[in-house]
Amino acid sequence: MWSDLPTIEKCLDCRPPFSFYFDLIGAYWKSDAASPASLHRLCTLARKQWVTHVLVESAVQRADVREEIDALDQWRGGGGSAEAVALSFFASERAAGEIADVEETSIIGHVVLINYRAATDSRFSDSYIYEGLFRAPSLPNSASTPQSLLNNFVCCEGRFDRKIKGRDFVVRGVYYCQQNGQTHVCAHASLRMTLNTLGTGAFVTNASINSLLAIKPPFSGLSISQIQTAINAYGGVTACVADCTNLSAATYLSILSSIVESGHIALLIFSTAQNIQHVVAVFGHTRNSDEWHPQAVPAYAGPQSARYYPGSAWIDHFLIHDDNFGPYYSLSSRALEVDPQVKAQFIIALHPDGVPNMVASYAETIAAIMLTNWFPSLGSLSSNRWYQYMIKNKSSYVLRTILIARSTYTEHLRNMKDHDGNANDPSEIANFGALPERFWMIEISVPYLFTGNRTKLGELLLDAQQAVNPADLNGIFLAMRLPGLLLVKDAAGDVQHRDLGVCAHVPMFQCRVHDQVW
Amino acid sequence: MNKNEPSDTRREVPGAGTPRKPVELPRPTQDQQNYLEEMKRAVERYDPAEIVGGPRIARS
Repeated sequence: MWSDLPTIEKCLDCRPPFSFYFDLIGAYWKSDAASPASLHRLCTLARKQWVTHVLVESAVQRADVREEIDALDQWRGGGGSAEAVALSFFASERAAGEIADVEETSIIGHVVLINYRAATDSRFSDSYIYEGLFRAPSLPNSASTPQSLLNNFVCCEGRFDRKIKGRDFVVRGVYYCQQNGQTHVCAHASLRMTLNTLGTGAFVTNASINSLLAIKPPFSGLSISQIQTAINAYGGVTACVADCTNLSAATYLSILSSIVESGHIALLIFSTAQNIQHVVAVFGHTRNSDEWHPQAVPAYAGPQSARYYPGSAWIDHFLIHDDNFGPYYSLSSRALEVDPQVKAQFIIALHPDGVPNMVASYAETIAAIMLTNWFPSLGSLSSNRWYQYMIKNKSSYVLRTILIARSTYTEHLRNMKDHDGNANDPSEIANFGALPERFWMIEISVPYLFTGNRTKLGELLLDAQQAVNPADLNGIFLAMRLPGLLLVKDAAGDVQHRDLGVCAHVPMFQCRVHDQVW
Repeated sequence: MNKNEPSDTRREVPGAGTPRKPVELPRPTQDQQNYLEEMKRAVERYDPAEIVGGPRIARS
């Protein structure tokens, strides 16, 4: 049994001459054997958001924290000593006041840091961030509401309730935690980050993962099937694995983009210079609508006879948590292309409601083939100018693929208003027929609308459950909305066409509202 | 009218919502089918026993 080292409660005033290097990291990160990079990153994020003070208290009474230290102590031989330091970061004019006076929205983040010392050692062997709950980075200003970062799309986040000095606070963000390299590794950390962010099942601890998989340390990692088992056992999500080793960078970036733009979360596994397959959690992206290469190179995808621009070509970074280095980093999509030692190996999507019948890049390629093959024979169906523009400008489509729920898509149709002010009326929405509960929506745009207006000209809907027969793609076709025209499969399997009132470009789908977009 | 301002009139859609004769949709060409088959094989090739996410404590 380990002994509990006392943590002195205090409020750190972050005004000069306070130094995060010496007065916080130097004081509370106790092990010389572990890099304090993760705590540095958390403090850096806090400084960028105008942190004014940090409350320090003990978290050792939390049951999950004790369970965590129990496992580490047992692995280290027992009889050690440990502290669990809770650090709560605030940006408030009432910094020095009592906790009751602090505005609820002034909390930037809440961290639990564990320091452990084995019975036979005078030095601390382990220091790591057991839990780091930080809100998504935002631009601080003198007004009470910080602005989200420009073109920074955090696509999903969780809600976390924590007690700080006896008062209840809510932090919304993406769950962060770190491996200790002993009783858990980065695969555990990434599972905890993703599953606890989703929050569709019970809170995930390292002990619960090891218990579920019936494994004990030491760990060289987790197998792909163990990761799948942990995800599938959690509830509400299913693991969907894509092997990236034989895919082009454009293809796996398209898969990853689609996952996060659908509002889902993923594990990205890539090789590193240390010959270890590292796992990080991916929950968002940045987009540069002024990116040069997609059109200039150009960054076409698809077979030679059905080329298209993947919308993912404008995604320049993915937003990730790396357990070793901290939360809310942006990983350049080019980083995985330029360094021969850093290569994407697997993407594991956490999809709601089962494994879809294909990956996004595959659905996107099918859409490109359909558009290329079908448009020559569809030209007479409508004289709409945008429709005719699409027919005549083959191979310049931008395709963006979303796995979407029927209810979300129906709401998207209801809220849709085109550039000319036209909306869908309820009878037109009814014409989409009995769509399945979840399906692929491949949005169709053209480069200058996609980058300038963030709008699209239509979407193609494909079934996400039925097996795909490459020789007969019509089997998975559900519907295609184009300017002024709807193609939809009827109950008999025939594709009918109907006129639609929405006859110009409409805003692209967004899984969450982002107000700071260029 | 400024071209970026939406018009306030809904376009008339003669016969909106009325189904017409079914559309015949061409099937993929052989090269497109081959491309899709290869894509499917590539993405599903993994070994579920492969170990990933091992210990690595960063030193800065």
